This record gives sequence, C-alpha cells and structure tokens, in this order.
Amino acid sequence: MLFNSIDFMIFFPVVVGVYFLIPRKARYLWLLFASYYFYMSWNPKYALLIACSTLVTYVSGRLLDHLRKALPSAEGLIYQKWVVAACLAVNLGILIFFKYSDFILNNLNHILSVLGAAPVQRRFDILLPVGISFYTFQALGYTVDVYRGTVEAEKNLFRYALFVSFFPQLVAGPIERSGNLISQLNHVEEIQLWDYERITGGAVLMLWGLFQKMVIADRAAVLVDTVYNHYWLYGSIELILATVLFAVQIYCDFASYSMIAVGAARIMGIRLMENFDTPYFARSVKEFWRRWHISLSSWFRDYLYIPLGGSRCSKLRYYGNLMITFLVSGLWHGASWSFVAWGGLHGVYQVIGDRLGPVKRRIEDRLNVNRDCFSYRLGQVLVTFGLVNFAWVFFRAASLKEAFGILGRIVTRWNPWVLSDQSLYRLGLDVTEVHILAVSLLVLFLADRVKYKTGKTLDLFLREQVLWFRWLVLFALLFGIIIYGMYGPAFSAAAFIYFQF
Amino acid sequence: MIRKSVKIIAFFLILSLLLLRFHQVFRFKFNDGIYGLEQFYEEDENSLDAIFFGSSHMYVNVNTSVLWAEYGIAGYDLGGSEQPIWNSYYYVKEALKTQKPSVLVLDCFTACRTGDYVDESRIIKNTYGMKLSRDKIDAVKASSPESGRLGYLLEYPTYHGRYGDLSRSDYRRFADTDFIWSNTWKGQYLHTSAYNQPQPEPEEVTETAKLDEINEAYLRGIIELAQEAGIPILLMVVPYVADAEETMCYNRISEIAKEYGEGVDFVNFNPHCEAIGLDFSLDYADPCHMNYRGSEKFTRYLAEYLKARYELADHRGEAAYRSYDSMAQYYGRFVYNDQIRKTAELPDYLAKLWIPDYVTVFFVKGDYKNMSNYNEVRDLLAGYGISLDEAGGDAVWVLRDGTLLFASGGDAEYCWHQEVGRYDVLTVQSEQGESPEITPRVLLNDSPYSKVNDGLNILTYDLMGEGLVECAGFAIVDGTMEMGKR
Repeated sequence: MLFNSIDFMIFFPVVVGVYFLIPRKARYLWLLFASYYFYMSWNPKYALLIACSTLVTYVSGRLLDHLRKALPSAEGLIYQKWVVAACLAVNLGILIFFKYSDFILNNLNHILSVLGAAPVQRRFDILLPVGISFYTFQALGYTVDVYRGTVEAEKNLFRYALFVSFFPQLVAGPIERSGNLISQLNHVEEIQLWDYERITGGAVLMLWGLFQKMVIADRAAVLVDTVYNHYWLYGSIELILATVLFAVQIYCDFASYSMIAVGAARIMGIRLMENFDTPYFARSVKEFWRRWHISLSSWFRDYLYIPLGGSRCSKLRYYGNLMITFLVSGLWHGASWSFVAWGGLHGVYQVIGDRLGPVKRRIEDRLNVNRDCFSYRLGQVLVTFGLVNFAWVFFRAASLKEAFGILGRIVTRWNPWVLSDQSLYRLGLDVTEVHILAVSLLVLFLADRVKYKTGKTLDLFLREQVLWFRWLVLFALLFGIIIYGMYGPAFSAAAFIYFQF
Repeated sequence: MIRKSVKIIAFFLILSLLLLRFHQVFRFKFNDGIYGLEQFYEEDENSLDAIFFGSSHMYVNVNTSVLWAEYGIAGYDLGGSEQPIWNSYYYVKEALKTQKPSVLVLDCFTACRTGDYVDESRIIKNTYGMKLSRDKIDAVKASSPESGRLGYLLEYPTYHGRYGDLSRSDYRRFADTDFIWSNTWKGQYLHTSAYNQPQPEPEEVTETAKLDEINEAYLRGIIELAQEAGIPILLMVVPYVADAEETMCYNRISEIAKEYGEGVDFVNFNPHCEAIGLDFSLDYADPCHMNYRGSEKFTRYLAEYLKARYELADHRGEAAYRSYDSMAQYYGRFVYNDQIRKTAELPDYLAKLWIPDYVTVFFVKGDYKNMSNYNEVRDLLAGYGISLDEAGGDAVWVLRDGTLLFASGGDAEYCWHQEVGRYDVLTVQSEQGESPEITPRVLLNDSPYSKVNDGLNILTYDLMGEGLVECAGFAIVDGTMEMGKR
C-alpha cells in the first residue's frame, strides 16, 4: 500500500493504536506482523523473498558470531570471509536475478545478434519485488557490520526480521544501519506511550511528506510525463522546464517517502536517519551527494568505496574508486544503461571537480574573486543544480538514445516564444494547476531554506513558533493536501518513483 | 497537561469545522440526483401522497406542480440521472423510512438497460444524496466496481479536485437554477425548449424479452418493499419514442407485475399518447424528455389514472402543505416567464411585464426620435410611465411594479445600481458610445446586456425566481421600430 493511499490512512493508526495498547513485550512482534502485512499488500509472494533474505543474513550473522568466538585465529577469519561471501552471493544473486535478469539477457542477446548467433529466449516473466534493493542492502550492511565487529549479531530472529522488514522504511528507505535501528528495536518495550512532542513532531513530518508527494511531486509529474513521453514534439524551453520539474518531482517524491517514514517511525518512538538535507542548495556535486539519498550514498561509501581504498591511495585509484562507486550506484537505481550513464556522469563530475578544483581556485585568486559573497555562493548553487539536472535527463529518459535525443533538442530547438504564447499551459497542466504548482514550489523553497539555514526540520522549526502560526501552517498543509492533492478518481495515485528499485 | 489537552481539543474542533465547511463547499450539488434526495429528507414524515422513482424519464416528465395545483396531490419526484434500478431500490428503501404514501410509482425505463455500472457522475448523482447508513454502503457497493468504492463512500476523493470549478452556487445550500426555488422544488426538472420530432406510430409488440438478471432482481426487490410496507405500486413507462426491443422488455415487466397480483400495477403509457394529447413536435425538449408543456399534459393524464385507482386526498388549503403552495406559485412564475420569452410583439410583450416582482430596464439607443412610428412607440411606453419626449438622446428607465426607480433623463453621466434578489446587482451607467453621445450600459452583475444598438431594449429581472427573464430587443430598421422582437 502506498503512503498516500486511504489504505495506509487506516492501516497506520490501527498499527500505532495496537502498538501502544498491547503489552510492551509484544510490541516488536506486532510491528513484525504489521510490517509483513504491509509488504504483502503488494504481493503476498514477496514475503517469501524477504523472509529468505532475512534468514540468510540472520544465519550469517550468527555464524560469524560463532566463528569469531570459536575460532579467533586467522583460520577463523578465512571462514568468516567465506560466510560473508556466501551471504553476499545469495542476496546479491537474488537481487540480480529479479532486477537485472532482463537487462543481462537483453545485452547478451544484443552481443549474440552482432555475432550472428541465435538469441537466448526468456522462459518466464520476472516481477520485480518492490523495495528489494533497499532491504537487501540493509541486510547486507548488517552482515558486514557483524563481520567488522561494529555490531553484535542479533540472536532473536524475530527482532532481526523486524530490522529487515520495518515497514516505514521497507520499500524506499532510508536504508538503515544495524547499529542504529537494531539497538532501538531491542528497546522498543521501553518507549513511552505518550510523548506529546514526539508524536506531534512525527505527525508534522508525515504531513509535510504527504504535501510534497501529493501536491508537488504528483503534479509536476503530469508535465514531466507529457513532455518526456513525447519529447520529439517539444523544443528547448519545454524540455528544460520538464527536466527542472523532474528534479523537483524526484526530490519531492523520494524525500517525501523518507519524511513519511521518519515521521511514522518517530510516532512509534523510533528514530530513523535523515535521508535528504536540502540537496538542491548544494554548492558542489560532492556536497550534493552528502545531502541526497544520504542513506544510500553513505552505504556505498562504507561498504564499497572505502573497502576499495577510498581516497587513501593514488589519484588514479581514487578516481577509479569514485567511478566504480557511482557506476554501481547508477546500476542500483535501474537496470538500464541510461541509469549507468547517470551514475557515471556524477562520478565524472567529481573527478573533474577534483582535478580542476585547484586550477579554479588559482584563477579566482588571480581575479580577486570574493568567494564569501552571496552571488558567488548563488553561482555555485546554480552551477551544481545545472549539472545535476543535466544528469537527470539520463535518469528520466527511457533509454540512452532518448536521453541524447532530448539533449540534442535542448541545444538545437531554441523556442523562447513559448514563454509568452500560453504554450506552457498546454503541457498537461492548465493555468490553475500551474499556479498551484508555483505556489507549492515557493512553499518548498521556503521550507528548505529554513532547513538549510537553521538545520531544523519543519517540526522543530514550528515548535519554536507561536501557536497561531503553527496552526496556520498545519491547517494550510492539511487542506493543501486534501484540496490540491493529486488523488481520487480524477487523478491516479502516482507510485513513488523509487519503488521500482 | 491540561493546557496540552485544551490545545488538542481546540485544534480538532477547528479542524472539524474547517472540514465541514470544506465538505459543504466542495461537494457535488447536482440537481438531477443529489439535491432531490436531500430535500426529500426535509419533508414532514408521512406527508406525501405519491412518490415517483426512476430516472430523468420520471422527474422531467412528472410535473409535481401540476399534481398539486390541479389535484392537491402531494407528490415527490425522487429520482436521479440515468438512475439504474438498483439505485431506485435503495431510494425506495430510504423513502419508506419516513413516508407511507398512498402509492409508489416507478418508471421502468432503466429496468430495461443492459450492461454493468453506469458512469462515475451517475454513480455520484444516485448515491451521494443518501444519508450515511448501512443502506448507503450497500447502494455504493451495488453501484460501483470494488476498486473505486472507498472513494465513493468517503466522497471527498471524488470532489476535492473541484477547486477550479467552484462558483457562487457552491457556497449556497442549493444551486441557483431557474427551477430550484429554495426548498419548494419537490424533485421536478423542467425544460422549456421544443424538439421537433415526428409523432411515433403506435406499434403492436406482444413478444417479451428477458431483463438482465440483476435488473429483474432489483425490480422484484422494489415490488416486495412496497408489499412489505403495504403500499400499492404502479410500474409505468412514461411516453417516449421506444423501440421494439424496449417494448418487449416492458411486456416482460408487465408479466412480472401480474405475478404479484393485487397492489402491483403496470401501465405502458406509450400507446396512450393520443389520449394524453402529446404532440411530439412541440411537447418534447429532446427524444425522451418532455418540456414543461408536455409534462403538464402527461401529468394530468397520470393524475386522473392515479385518482381513479388509489386513495389520494386533496390537500389544497392545508397549512402543512404551504411549501406546495409556494412551489405552485414559483411554477406559475416559471411558466409565465417562458411565455414572456415566447411573446414576440411589442404591445403584447409590454402587457405581460406589468406584474409585481419584475424589475424592468428600458433603454433606447440610436436615432429613435426620428423613427416613423415614434408616436406609436411613445404612447405605448407612456402607459408604463416612460416618457420618450423627455429623454435626451440614448436613455434608460428602471421600473419596479410601475414605480420609476431611475431615469437617466438628460443627465450627461450617470451611474445607478441596486441589489436585486439576494445575490445579484443591476447596474445602469453611462458610457461613451460610438457617436459622441452618451449611451446607457446595463449590467446584471458583471455581464453587460444589450440586444440592439439601434432601438429599444427591455431587460427584465424576476425577483421571485431571482433570475434574468431575458433582454429583449426591438430594432429600428430603415427608420421604423419593428414591433417584432429580435
């Protein structure tokens, strides 16, 4: 069930209500039941997969723990490495099978056709289980943490199963670290029933998340889809606009999910990690990745980039590690060369940024550029935003060919007259809808600006304000969602973009 | 702790009030379904003599004003647009919770429809008027596919997106239309236009055709509801151009009615068109729906039929039925306004305007002083207190009940305005015309009205019905004012 569905509006209060009413010792079991129910609402068979992944990583953890105690020698270390390797193989194997089979098969058949050989036939259709990339990484992270000794192996299978399947963050993150989440789940009995600030704070985050998803993301999606799905009909202005709105759409879509997840968990007394920190205010691509999908980028940093050597090696190897990490990240996002290209672009940005950084600083010093002024910082933000948007074209386009087609038209089909001939109101959103989108983008900008400047999320910011202002904002958000949300028979609830991962 | 509790209670209280207002403004206000049932709930218990159910074939063609004014029958048209028989079933159930009429009447047009659910707007029209109850939930379940049911039950997912369509009528309790007057409406829906179609030849069709299983089940359900309540039921077919297949279905319904015996009657009124006096070229607004003239004829015929067979009292004069008297009054005005619109000749037109509750704006433009029939027109208008001789150039007069409210006289510039009805404003102001002369500009709210630029315009506003009757124009052509309306 989607977070912005009526089903979830019924499911969540029931889960929370029972959670607080049942004996404390049963809380984690109830959450486990609710999490599996939540996941099976997509497809009951998915439960088998997540259960399999849970079991494999649980057993791996126990084995690692046992080996560490039973065989503390070098021999034991080798066995531990084999356990980790086997665990990785099984889980990544499942992930690759479900997510990349078609991609692998299509590329193989392409090579075979070039060589003049017969293509390999697909024997059956494979349905991609929602959220598989997220919980697989979360479970693998646990295994590696146990191997590294940073967390104890969880002995209670059900608590561990809850860690893997905890419903607020199950299908689209944040990808939690075992150190943070397992320890909280182990003390779920101690959580206070009534904590006014915790519950209202969580509710505010959920409300803000729903606003971002239902008012902004789903509305922007209409224009983006209209233009991108028929890109050959449009010129530069429409394509640039659609790309920028896609940047808004994917940010609001993804950040909203995380926001709702964090808020829902907060209500239940569990703190999930922040996943987005005003990424479009970043002043460099490197900073962008410290603010965007923080849980995934930090996962790749800790479990791929640093094991490869990180930046503590030669420049060439450092750049290689960067590229590998971002290429894999791209592939994680989707089984398509366009996603790989997107990831690769971000890697290239950082390599070039690192290479040209000193050169840029020398030139600026030579020209006495004031790096502390507003316009310099604004320029950095705009350039970063531009680079990120350029890459988003590859993310959104259906294929590499389409991405290049779009970029080609942006460069060659300059059409500024559409800014004044009302064409922009014929891209799926009429005048009223465009105005609603514009106002809601202003709201988003203001909220993110507050977060950027103060570090405070909306709930913390509102807590400091006077009552009438707090309530005005809450009622505005609530009725903004109820009235302007893209739901109901006239709109179809657009699934969260990252569900395909 | 107490402060927090008070804050929480206050928050939810304000939230509830805002949600209620949101619901009131945004909800659908269709008068071909929702309003009919909502107003029905306001009728006094056990006050109705005859309740009519069905689709627009019923509520357009059964004239509750004529039933009351000429027979004293307190009737109610309780139907919905393209109302499927399963919705009629739940409407009957609702009606019987508060009413025990002398007869229930069901038009069987939609009992013969085939196919599954109707479109979304009809699902809304035929369920949203129901009060929340087990029956409403069942009605929604019967009316809609499973995937959309929750939206129809909660309602707001279907109407929240109306922010671009909201109008003045959304902020009122009932919509502003020509034929809904406060709470006196009784479900009827009136057309004024005429659709010229050939008179159908009566065709003898004796075969029967099966009804859809679900339709027959609900039809029988309706009959059984009536029997359980001890109320006779008449299944009827309102006259329209029915084809042979539909007639075969109606023959089947006749058979079903006979199965139940006493208390269940069936009449297909199609063969009765000649007796009713229906002229298909004048009495219909479209192939299936009569205009008000046709509905009057049919309703008189139906009323005679009902009075002959069922115990229907004459409630005229009873204090409890004042709303019906009001309805008859409004209906009379509705018909009168239509007659005005159909009046073409100036003398007859002027004669019809001389009744209370009209605000009439006369404005002359162009070279009327030199028209060949100036004296004739001047004398005609003088009878209404309008002096063309005293007017300097283009001029305007506003009258109500013979009292002059405003006259531009020889004023170079003027601006007069007055609220008419509860929500409208009439404005008369001067503006620079094409010639150097000042010319009158007449607006109702923000819409300007003027039928002719050279001649006499007459704008009439009906205070009773709170709406514009029309803006008529009598043009000056070749120096003479035409007596015929443009």
